[in-house]
Amino acid sequence: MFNLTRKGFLKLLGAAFAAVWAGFSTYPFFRYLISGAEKKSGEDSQVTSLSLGKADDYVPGSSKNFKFGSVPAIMVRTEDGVFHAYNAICTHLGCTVQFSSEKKKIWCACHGGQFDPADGKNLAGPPPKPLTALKAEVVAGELIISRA
Amino acid sequence: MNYPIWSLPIIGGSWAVGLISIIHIFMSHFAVGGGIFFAVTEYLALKRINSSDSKLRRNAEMMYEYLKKHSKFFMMVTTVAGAVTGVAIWFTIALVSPDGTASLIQTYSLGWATEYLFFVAEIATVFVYFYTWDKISKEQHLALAKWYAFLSVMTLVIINGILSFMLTPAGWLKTSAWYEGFFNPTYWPSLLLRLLVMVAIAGMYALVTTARLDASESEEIADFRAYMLKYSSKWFIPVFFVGPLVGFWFFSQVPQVVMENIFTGIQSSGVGNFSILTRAIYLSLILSGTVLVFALVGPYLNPRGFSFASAIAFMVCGLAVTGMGEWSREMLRKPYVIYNYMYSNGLRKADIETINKEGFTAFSKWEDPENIGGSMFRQQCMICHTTDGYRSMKKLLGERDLEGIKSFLFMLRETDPEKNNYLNIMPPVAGTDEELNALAEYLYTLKPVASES
Amino acid sequence: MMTEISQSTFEWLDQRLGLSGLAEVAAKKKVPVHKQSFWYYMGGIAMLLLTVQFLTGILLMVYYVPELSSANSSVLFINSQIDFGWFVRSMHSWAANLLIFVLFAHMFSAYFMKAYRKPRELTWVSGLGLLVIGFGFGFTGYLLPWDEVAFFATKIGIDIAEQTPFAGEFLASLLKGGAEVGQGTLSRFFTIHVIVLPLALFALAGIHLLLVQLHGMSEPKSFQDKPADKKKYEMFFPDFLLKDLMIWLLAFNVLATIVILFPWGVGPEADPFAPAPAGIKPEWYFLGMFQFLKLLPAHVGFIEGEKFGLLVFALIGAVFAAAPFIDKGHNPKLSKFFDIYGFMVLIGLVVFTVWGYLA
Repeated sequence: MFNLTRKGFLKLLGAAFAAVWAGFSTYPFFRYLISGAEKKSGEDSQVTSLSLGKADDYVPGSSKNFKFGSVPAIMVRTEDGVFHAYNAICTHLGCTVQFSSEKKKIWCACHGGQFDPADGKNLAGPPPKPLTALKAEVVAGELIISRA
Repeated sequence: MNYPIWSLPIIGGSWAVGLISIIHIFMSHFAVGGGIFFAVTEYLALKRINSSDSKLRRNAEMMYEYLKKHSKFFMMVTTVAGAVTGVAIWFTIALVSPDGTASLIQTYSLGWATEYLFFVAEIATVFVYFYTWDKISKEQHLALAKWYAFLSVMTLVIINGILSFMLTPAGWLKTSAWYEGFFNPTYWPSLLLRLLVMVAIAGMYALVTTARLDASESEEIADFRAYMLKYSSKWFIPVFFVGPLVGFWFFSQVPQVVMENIFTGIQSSGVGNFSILTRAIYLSLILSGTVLVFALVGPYLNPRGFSFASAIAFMVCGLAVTGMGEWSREMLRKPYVIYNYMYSNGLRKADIETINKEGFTAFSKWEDPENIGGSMFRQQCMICHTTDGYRSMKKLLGERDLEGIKSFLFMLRETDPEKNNYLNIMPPVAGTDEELNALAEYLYTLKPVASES
Repeated sequence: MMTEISQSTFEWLDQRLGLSGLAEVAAKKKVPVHKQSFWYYMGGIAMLLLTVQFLTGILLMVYYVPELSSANSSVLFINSQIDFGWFVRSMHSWAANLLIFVLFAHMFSAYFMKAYRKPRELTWVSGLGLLVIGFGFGFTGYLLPWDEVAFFATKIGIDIAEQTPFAGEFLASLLKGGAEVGQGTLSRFFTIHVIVLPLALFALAGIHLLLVQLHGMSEPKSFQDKPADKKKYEMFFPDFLLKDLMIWLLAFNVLATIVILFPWGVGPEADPFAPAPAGIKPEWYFLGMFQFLKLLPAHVGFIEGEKFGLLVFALIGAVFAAAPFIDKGHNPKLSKFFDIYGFMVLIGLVVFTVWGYLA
């Protein structure tokens, strides 16, 4: 198979260089598709803080699911009146968690994982890690959620 | 600044230089590439004319016939259009960019003189070459072809030093030694790249003259025409293989800031001056690729179907790539005419601080005390901006009012890239606060009256 | 080595797909060589531009959002945040305009060469259908960036469509998808543009191309009348195909140069509550008809002005479409009539388009 004559070698080299030139021409389209994927995470995490409205609107023992940029998030006001907020992405397989006022726990419907609303710690079920915490504070009566 | 400014409406002085230079490149690259073409092709013809194979002998005879015709075209084009545009460049750059031209003359006076000598020898040689076909021996004629090729390559060797010096003056900035500026980082890659392009351009022009041969005259001519078209198209092979490699080498030697500019332009809005460098380079690359494919599917694979019209269309594409490439190369150097030494408007980088303190009026010899704003515009801006033509000042001012124009100018005076985004495409404005205000007042008078209502 | 591989691959496929039969037919395909041969390239250039549209269109769909508050900003995003986004977007806008121009050139050249005559009547009719599809692509695509000009041009376009006798209101309602041009319109236009019209295009273009292969290239009468030995042909494979490729390269170069030097911007976002900008005009390929409609009085006889205008267009188009069924080549007077008719239609289009620009 490798009985290459000089002509054959030149043809092979030519084909190789043609492939290089062709590669150049696909580079822009490759960059076009990738740059959006690279950008999106940076873009949406532009959200550094948002307001959930009047703090007094949320009674102790209640919760709210909301969006922090493109990330699902959850705010819980525990019985002691303190506000907590976390990324609502379950650390097991990524489902969105919710708060149960009966169980007084944050839980995940997918596989039964449970988290402590006071500090996001994984209490029971498959989740391996605590929920990522966000900062929740009351500023002039407004409930402001921001990055931890 | 040291010289009066000559301004050209609508296209602007910069395009006067640009158009004439680009046409000159079309001719000069033909001259150098063609010189190599004649030397190589005549060598082949000489080798075959004494062959024992009658077919090869006949082929060589027809090659000589062809070379005679092609050399007439070559001589007329290069000595007339080439020489005229070459001299025209001198006129335009002296009028449009006198400070920059003065600097180049002073730095390389012996270089220019040597270049002129080579030009004279080159032109003399091509006349002798054309008029001595069949009058001297074939061996002597081939020697003339080789001599011409040498002379024209030397003209490239010299001018490329000066041209590439403008982009990367390198060590010359510190030592002022001519050889440090001449043999600068972009000298060797650009020399090689130009030679590759010249070889291809020689093939391109040969395609045009070959395509004019009438295949219907005889089968022999039809066969020769096909043979010669294929032969000419092969002159694109060097740039196909080596071009990308040398291109990478060239860009690795270009100032880093410029490379950042280029990559920022990839995700710009595509409209406007921040992205024009990227776009022009991109178009040069696209057209280079398509020209190569054109050479393959046209004269190489189907020479008998390659008409004169196709050859002309191909030539237009080839010249378009060349023009785009030259335009891109010029834009790489912005905002300087000699990188890191002298800005496009003739102001030296080292003088900017002094001018800002003592005033442009004190510095410039051609200020009009009655119209400081207008003189500032003329001296510092008109080399690139016309009032309402190319890079129209009127359009660029947009909807800014007097306060807006003032704050824009004060921003443009900043030499910190964090504070002034425009530093990588424009020289900083230089002058005292009063002078900047005068310039702002003048610019405000350019705006159409309708915007005030 | 490479030729051995390709040879054995061909044999393997041939034993399963019967390729050698196709190859035999393809090898015989020839193209007449005459002074008007240049016009044979038009269809191919149209195909090239269509391919560009499909590729760039798919890429644009990756980032475009057909929702009222996101449409304009997503186009801005593509134009300014995505690497080479400006290039993909400008390619799409410019190729669209060039394509419609080439379609006109293709149609008129086929018309004047009388390529519509037997047996190519169906090719002609399917071609006209393809032109209408092309206009549909242009009209629906134009709205998608949801900028000021697009919004109002669409409004006007739908208002004119509403004037269609009998079906006008239904048609307008179908297009608008609501009481006003809004989210409903955007969603419908998007659907039509990215799937309905492409499917229709594939179907009709498939038929069109099949017919062209079946019948071969049409020969103008002056060529047909030549004695057999004077008729020059060239083989499609590989000669004409290589020439086709050269022309496609040229067309692509022209497109790329225009895109780079004159990139397409994004206008300000549409505000339905703002008044229409003064001097609003449709794109150039609708401009001629638009200008004609503007000149008509409110009533012509008992018919409303715009309805009358649409009837005129329909009539002109119908005669144009009926050419193969009337000008069959037996009557030199009819033949001449259709020559003049076509010429008048072409001149009329050019005059009204230029007039529309200057107005």
